[in-house]
Amino acid sequence: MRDAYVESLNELSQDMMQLAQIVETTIANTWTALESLDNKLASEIYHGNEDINTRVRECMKKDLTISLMQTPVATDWRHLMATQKILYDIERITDNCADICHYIFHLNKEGGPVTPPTGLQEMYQVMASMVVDVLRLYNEGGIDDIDLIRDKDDIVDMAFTKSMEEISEKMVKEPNHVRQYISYVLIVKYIERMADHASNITDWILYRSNNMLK
Amino acid sequence: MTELTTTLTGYAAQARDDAHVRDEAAAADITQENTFDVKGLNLFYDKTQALKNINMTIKKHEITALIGPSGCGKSTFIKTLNRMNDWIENCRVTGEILFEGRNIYKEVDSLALRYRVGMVFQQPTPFPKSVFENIAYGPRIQGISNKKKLAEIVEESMHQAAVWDELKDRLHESALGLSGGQQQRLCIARTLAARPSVILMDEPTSALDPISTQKIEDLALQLKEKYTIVIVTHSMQQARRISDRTAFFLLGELLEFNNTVDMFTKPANPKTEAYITGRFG
Repeated sequence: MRDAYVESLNELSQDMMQLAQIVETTIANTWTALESLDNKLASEIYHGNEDINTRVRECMKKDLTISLMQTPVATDWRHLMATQKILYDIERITDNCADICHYIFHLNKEGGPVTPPTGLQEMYQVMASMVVDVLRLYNEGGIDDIDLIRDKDDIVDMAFTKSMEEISEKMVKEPNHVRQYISYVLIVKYIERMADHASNITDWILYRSNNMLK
Repeated sequence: MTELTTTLTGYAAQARDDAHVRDEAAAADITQENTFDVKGLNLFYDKTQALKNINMTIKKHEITALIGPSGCGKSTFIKTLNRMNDWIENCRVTGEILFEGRNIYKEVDSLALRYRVGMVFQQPTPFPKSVFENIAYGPRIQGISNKKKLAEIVEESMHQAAVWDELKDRLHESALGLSGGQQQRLCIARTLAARPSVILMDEPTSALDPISTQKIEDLALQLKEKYTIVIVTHSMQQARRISDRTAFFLLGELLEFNNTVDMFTKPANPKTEAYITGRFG
């Protein structure tokens, strides 16, 4: 029994669980900040992203060190490979939260708020549920509901298209607020990208489980 | 003459008579895709069963790695492939091993079989003779006495064993003065000089340093172009690096046999997974 090896894998799993909780909180807070255009909360999220990136890098380093020192195989190898890839997507998801916060500052700065796209909240909530569910699957194991999560990516894509059409119409009708609407264009794009990253994570969870690359 | 020399010389005439067996086997070599077909193999040491119903196909020009914890039967199994277990008292074998389509216990003479199925052991076993004489030993026993022919065989075997460049100027020095890695490659050259089609390797690098190990592994990968190789190893990394297929033995049973990539990425048997990930054994 390779006790130190198993212990190092358990330690990485604990770190990943903590990271998942932080990501979940960050996504929830980002919506709160976006909905209320709360500059203070947006600033906390924006500056807190560096801490998340540091945690992600620490997990990546642990994952690589185990791979280098313990030459894992089979399930362990697939788990560590998948974790490395998933960490990249997690980092991008929280970067997108910081990006959204950056445009909350712009929305507050550029001549007062405008009406956000009507489907923004639903689009965000679907994306957020994808991220939460996929990280739960990663941490708990198994692939139940993975198709459901992947299907939600289509819902987010449709919401993105609809939001873009709506914003385009508003830009024509309200030319004085074009800069704010550009911020919303970028925000809905970030939400759509976050859903894509969640979908990428499902690919790696499937690889970990089945040794099948999509 | 040593006892071994006397025995082997005595076999020489028989070996020449068996030439037609080798020729026929060589002919079979052209058509047979499988080098060995093992069917329902059981092996007993007195009342203790060391191998239990082994079924396995070893394909030509592949490296097959045998892995498993100590005492699992992998070394016993590899020795059945050239009937080395014949020499063990109270050893009894049931089932079939077909070598290039012929039952090695019924249709092939054991000596002729060992010419075709050579073996390299854990510890290098050079004879207390010169480098040249070590390699020429097998061909001499087979009846080749022409000096030019012997020199050709020695050089060709040393080239194939990747030891010519290092030892070509030391041909008449004692093989006992070589490094462990050189001695092991010399033993491989000695095996090749007997013109086998299969090389069995029983933990051939366990006594060697990493550089010598690397040379033996590189050599195995080159040799599989011309030979079928079966290797017993305790190194999971070695099995992964060089073998095409891997067989996992446990308590005398063949628990899993699969191509090496699949075996080390998604083994079918949880016990294989537990062993190769180091969770038991």
